Parts: sequence; structure tokens; C-alpha cells
Amino acid sequence: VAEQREGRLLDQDLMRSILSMLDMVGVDASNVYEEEFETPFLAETKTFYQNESQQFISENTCPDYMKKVEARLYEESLRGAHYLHPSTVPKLNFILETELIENHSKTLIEMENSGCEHMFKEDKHNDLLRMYKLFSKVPKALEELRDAMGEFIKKSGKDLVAQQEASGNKEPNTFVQGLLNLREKFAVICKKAFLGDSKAQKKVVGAFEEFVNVDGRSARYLAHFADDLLRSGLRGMGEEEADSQLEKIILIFRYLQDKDVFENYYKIQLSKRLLSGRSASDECERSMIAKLKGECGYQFTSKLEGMFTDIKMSRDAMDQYRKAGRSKIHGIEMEVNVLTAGYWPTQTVLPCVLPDPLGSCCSAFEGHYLDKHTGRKIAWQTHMGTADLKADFEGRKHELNVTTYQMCILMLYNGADVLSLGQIRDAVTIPEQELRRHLISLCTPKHKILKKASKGKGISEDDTFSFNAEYTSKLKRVKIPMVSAKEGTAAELNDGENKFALPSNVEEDRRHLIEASIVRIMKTRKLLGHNALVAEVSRQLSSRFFPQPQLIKKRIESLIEREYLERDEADRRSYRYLA
Amino acid sequence: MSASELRAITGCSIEKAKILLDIYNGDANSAAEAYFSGEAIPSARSKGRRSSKNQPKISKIDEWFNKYSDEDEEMSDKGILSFCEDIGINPQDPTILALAYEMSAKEMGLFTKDEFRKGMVSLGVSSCKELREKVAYIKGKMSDTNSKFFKEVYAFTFDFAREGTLKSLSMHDSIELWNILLPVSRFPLLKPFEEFLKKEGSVSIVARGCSEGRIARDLWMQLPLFFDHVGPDFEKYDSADAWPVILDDFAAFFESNMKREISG
Repeated sequence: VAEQREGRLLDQDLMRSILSMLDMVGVDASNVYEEEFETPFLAETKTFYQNESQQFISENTCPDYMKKVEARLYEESLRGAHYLHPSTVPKLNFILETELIENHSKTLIEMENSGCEHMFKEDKHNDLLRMYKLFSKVPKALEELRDAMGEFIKKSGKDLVAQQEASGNKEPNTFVQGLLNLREKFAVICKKAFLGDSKAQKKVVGAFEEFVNVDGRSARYLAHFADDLLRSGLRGMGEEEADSQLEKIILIFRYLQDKDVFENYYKIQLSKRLLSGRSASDECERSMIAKLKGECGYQFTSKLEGMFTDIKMSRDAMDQYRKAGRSKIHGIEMEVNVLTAGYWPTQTVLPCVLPDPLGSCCSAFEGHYLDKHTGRKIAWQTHMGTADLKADFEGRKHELNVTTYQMCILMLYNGADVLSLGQIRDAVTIPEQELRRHLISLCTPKHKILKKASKGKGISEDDTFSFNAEYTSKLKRVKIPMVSAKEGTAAELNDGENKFALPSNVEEDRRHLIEASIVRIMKTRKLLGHNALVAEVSRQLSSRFFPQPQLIKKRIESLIEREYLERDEADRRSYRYLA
Repeated sequence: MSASELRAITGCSIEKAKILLDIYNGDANSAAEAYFSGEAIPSARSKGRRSSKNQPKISKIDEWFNKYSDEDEEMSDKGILSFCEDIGINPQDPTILALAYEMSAKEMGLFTKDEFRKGMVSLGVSSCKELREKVAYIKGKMSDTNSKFFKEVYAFTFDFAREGTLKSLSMHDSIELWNILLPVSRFPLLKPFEEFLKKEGSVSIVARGCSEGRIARDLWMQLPLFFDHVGPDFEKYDSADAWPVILDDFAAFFESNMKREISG
């Protein structure tokens, strides 16, 4: 046989008859076939293949090795069919699988430049298919193959996230597209190379979930992608195409564990879009929300829908107000959006004094609104909103589009040409940091509406600002942009270790949700063990985020201190609900 | 004096107290003495805590109290110090807490007349000499940290040491009390825990969303159990267990410090 393996011919029929003769010779308990032939045969086979495989693998690439293995397996199966005793065949196969496949599976997978990493990268479907088929014979090797795929996906994914971060999240599209490409790539690999193996598919999903959920960054980039699309990307697209774009978002959204982080950003961005009227298409917005609802249920989207309702109602209310001829007072045309506090992202309103004519417009509207809706309270959100000012410069008239605070500052110049920081501060009462930020925005080189007395970038305490009558601009209507705030996004990224910190409202919300969940559960169960409680809370909140067991523990302790719960006297590991 | 006050002194039930006052026409002193001297009282059943030989005399106890009390008829810091000296214990001895427990004292550093009476009566002593003899016995009970008595005194101490309406203890006070109550021989982890509290405790506690560096009752109660359960080397510690989070932080602290000691 050895000779045949070496490639020489053998009279197969002769072999068959010899072997069957040996078999028949075994009349007594002693099996001649086994002793005389099989055992040495198998031993020799083992050695033969051990050597051959070692040598071959060290000299050849992975795909080539696999082809050789395929060939050898085929050869041996023929041998088995032609002249080996049927009982020998499984034993032979076992040796083959062990020596040729199992012992080398790791080496094959990890082989540089031709192993799995290479195959995945280059979409070598055929090679992967061959590997899959071979490894299917050895479950352990197959598991290793799946693991290797998982690791590759995770690594690629993490690279994508890192790249996005390095680029400062400028093109969220790159990130999401990258993810989608990765996803598609492995969908094909699973189908073609792994024959739709369900365990492989699960592995893919698992790997995606792992790197997507390392921290909240993926959620944030995804939200930005959505914002981009809904702001301008979907403009002019047909219904089907727009829908498929939105679907992409959902595909990645499904991998997210901390969906509340996504919701947090989405809400903030939606509010900006709605209030500035910067939405590409109302229909697309609604469609996106419907999709999110489909994924997460009504609770997730109820506030978002509320925001839409508010905008619509505000529009209707303004129409009425206008028709009643009340919207133009003192020559000021005002448009108001009335927002239901619970739906919109919360922000603390900084105090500010509105210039007189505007103040009376606001009061007029307030009066009108509260007449219609008694029992409600209105709070003017002066940190939002814009104003169009008609400004007379030396001979030129321009229309300036500014924020509310900028307007407050500029209107002061109707009464004086030069004002000190202190005077402005007293008149307008905006807190220091915001005041400075707004003042700077009004005296940047590009938009020098005001001239700052001191040189340099900062504002000194005794600085003065004078109206710049020489201001010029090519445009008739100029938008004066705000100087960017350094807080906000930077605070979320702790650049020391590149760790993403949860936005503070998400953290706060989670605390409340966990506590509410604990109380709900304990109210029903009355007495419950620690582990069971933690598991139940996780289960209840799983559609929104994954609560860390330590966080749940902290909330339990807080509830113990506030006497909602107590530890059971008999079992310190269980808690009792205190009515 | 009312029936409930009499009850507070003698420890008898409210019904008996009413009966006694009735018999003695509202003279609580006599009523109490009668109770203790075991005189036959209608439907009274003595709990037999006191030996028939040594009846604590209220008047004697009161006299004794007056030696230490101040103008407000209360025993405060100086008085307590003298008291401790006279009975032969140092103020850091857990015995004083056991005494406070017997007195059901409300506030640390202050014993009222009633509380003093109750305590001495409950111990069955009415003089310094008698109490001194009992001190060794009390010390013994307190050193058995598994005993019911110890556990009760330990639990009592938390509320006793609390100030006013605050529901927690300061870290400083807690550490002092732990040092008094928990013998280091039996609780070798106490010192590392103290170190942990001083270094990172307030951060850890603040992170829990509590006021800065204060010890809550739950932690107070769980600490000895934790020390017992976990063993001197944290062998039996399980982070998935239901211990207060600060103890999990302590475990992590201990591990990183331990490692440092081994390698350093």
C-alpha cells in the first residue's frame, strides 16, 4: 500500500482477494486480518501521513495544502472502496482526519499570507469553502475556523471605529458604509463558503455586536449618519432609494446594545432639524421613526412623535395668530414654536433680558396662548431661536441673521455707540461664558459687526466694544455664525485613553429606569434574591440598554438607604419590599 | 411619674406598671422598689432576672448617678469619663457601648437619669463595686462576636452614634467605633479596610451617589458578616454576591495592594 501511495500502481483486485482471504482465515477468536494487516496498516498510514503533512505544510501555502489533503482523502476513499475491508474504512478516515486536518488546523488558520486572514480579506470563497468542507469532518477545527472569522470581524470593526474617531467623525457616512460593507462581505462568505452554516452566522452577529458595543461611539456615529441623511442626503431621492438608505441605519441599529445612547443623540439632532426647518423630507423623518418603532416599540419613539406633533401644532397656532393680525407688533414679525417640555431634549435656560419691543411681543403671544390653554406655563427658551436684524452701516444696509443673545447685544447699540463689557453684562444679564462667546462671535475678522478695543483673542474685564459702521459684506443678508463651544462633544471623549463617556442625561435616565424597574419588580415579588433581581432588571431593560450588574447593585443600595427595600433578616442575599 | 416611665425603669409590662402605680398611689420610687424586692404583686410574674439577694435599689442608683451628673441632671463627657475610671474600664472599651445598650441610651456622650437607672437595674447592680465585678462578665460577652448580645450591641451602636437626624455615620466616627468593637485578632481585614476608606473610600462612596464619605447602616451591618464570610485572604469572596458596592471596591483595592506587597 505504501508503494501505491507513493504513486506506484498496484493490482487492486489482487489486493482485494488477498485481504478478503485474510479476513476469512480468521475463524477462531483471533482475527488474522486485523492482526496481520489492519493494525500495521493503520500504524503505517498514521506515520506516513504525519510525515507527509508536516513536510507539506511547512513548504506550501494553505490553499495548496488543502488541495493536497483533498486529493489524498479522495485517494484513500478509493482505496477503501476497492480493496480494504469495510470495517477498516472508518478507522482509516479517523487517522486521516486527525493527521491531515486536526493536527494542523491551527497552523492552517493562522498561516501568514495564505491563512484565514488573507482569505477573508481577499474574499477567497473557494479556498474558504474547501477549508469549511475539510474542517467539517473535525468539529473542533470547524469551531476554530468560526472563531477565526469572529476575531477577524472584530478586528476589522474596531479598526473602523478607530479610523472614524481619528478623522474626528467628519464623514459618518464612511463609518456606516464601512460597517455595512463588512456585514455584506461576511453574509456572502457565510453563504458561499460556509454553506449558510447557522453557527457561522451567529458568530458573525456576535462579533459585530461585540465591537459595536465596546462603548457608545458607534451609536453616536450612527446617529450622525442618520442626521446627515435626514438633513440633506435624502433630498431628491425616490421613495424606494430613500427607504433603502434608512434601512441601512436599522441594520446597524440592531447590533447596538445601548440603544438609549443612539436615542439621545437622535433626539437632539431631530430637535435641531425640526426647529431650524432643516429637514430634507417630512415623510422620510416619519418613515425613520416608524422603523425605530418597529424595532423597539412605542415607548422608544413616543417622545419623538410628540416633537412632530408640537411642530405641527405650533404651525397651526402661528397661522391663527397671524390671521388674527396679532403677530406683527411694533414692526416686529414674530414666529413662535411651542414645545411640550417632556418631549424635547432638556436644557437649562440661561437668563437674559430681551430688548423692549421684543419683550412686549413675547408677552402678547404669551397672553394669547395662555388664554387658550389655561393652567399651562410658558418658559421662553432664549438660548435657542434666531433673529433677523436690519442694520444700517455707513451707507449700506444689511440684514443680519443672528442668535437671540447676539440680538440682545446688538440691540443695545441702538442707544449707544460704545459699550463696555460691564455695561453689556448688566443690560443683558447673560452668564459670563455665554456672553463672552457671543461677543467674540460678533467681532471676528470675518464678521466684524463690533470692534473690540483690546488686541488679541481674549476679552479683558475693562474691554469696550464699539459699533463698526465700516462693516462690509458682499452679501445683502449675512448669517453671523457662532463661535464653537469647546465643551459638548469633547467632554464625552476622554482623550487620555480614548474612552467614550456616556452623555450625562443618558446616565441619569438609566439610573431612574433601573430604580423604577427594581421597585416595580420588588412590589410584585415582595421578597427576591439578589441574583434573581439583577437578572430580572436586566431582562426588563434589555430593549433599551444593558445595565451593568454593579450599577444595579448601586441603585439597590440607594433604595435600601431610602427605605424602599431592606435586606431579609434570615438571608442577607435577599431583599424585601418595604411598603 | 407615668406608667410608661416606670416601665422604662423596671422593664416590666405596662399593665404591671399601672397596677404598681395604683398600689403606691403614684409614688414611682416605692413602686419600683417594691417590684424589685419581689413583693407580691397581683398578677405579676417576675422574670427572675435578678437574684433574690441583690435587689437594685433605685434610690441607691440615683445617688450613684448624682456623683457624675451635671446641673441638668445628665451625665455628660466628664461624668462619663469619671464613671469609666471608677468602674475600671478605659473609655475605648467596648464595655461602655454594652452599658449604653443596656441603658437604651439615645445619644452618645450623654446618659440621662432614666437611662442610667434602666441600665443598672437591667444589670442588677446598684453600686460601683457591684458594677466593677460585673465588668469582666460583660467584657467576656462582648468578645464573643458571634453571640447574640454582641450583635445587638453592634447594631445598637450605629443608631446610638448617629447625630440628630442624619441617617449615616461619618467615616471618622465609624472607624473609631469599629476599632472599639471589632477585635483585630478576629477581624484582620479591619486595618486594610481602614486604609482603603482613607485612601479611596470617599471617592467610592460619592460614586455611589451618597453624601461625601459617610457610612450607611447597610454597610455598617454588613461589614462584620463580610469579614467573616470572606476570610482573611478574601478566599471566599465572590464579586457577584450581594455585598454593598463599596466592599467590592475594597476587594479590588485589596487585590491590587496585596500584589504590590508581594512584588514590592
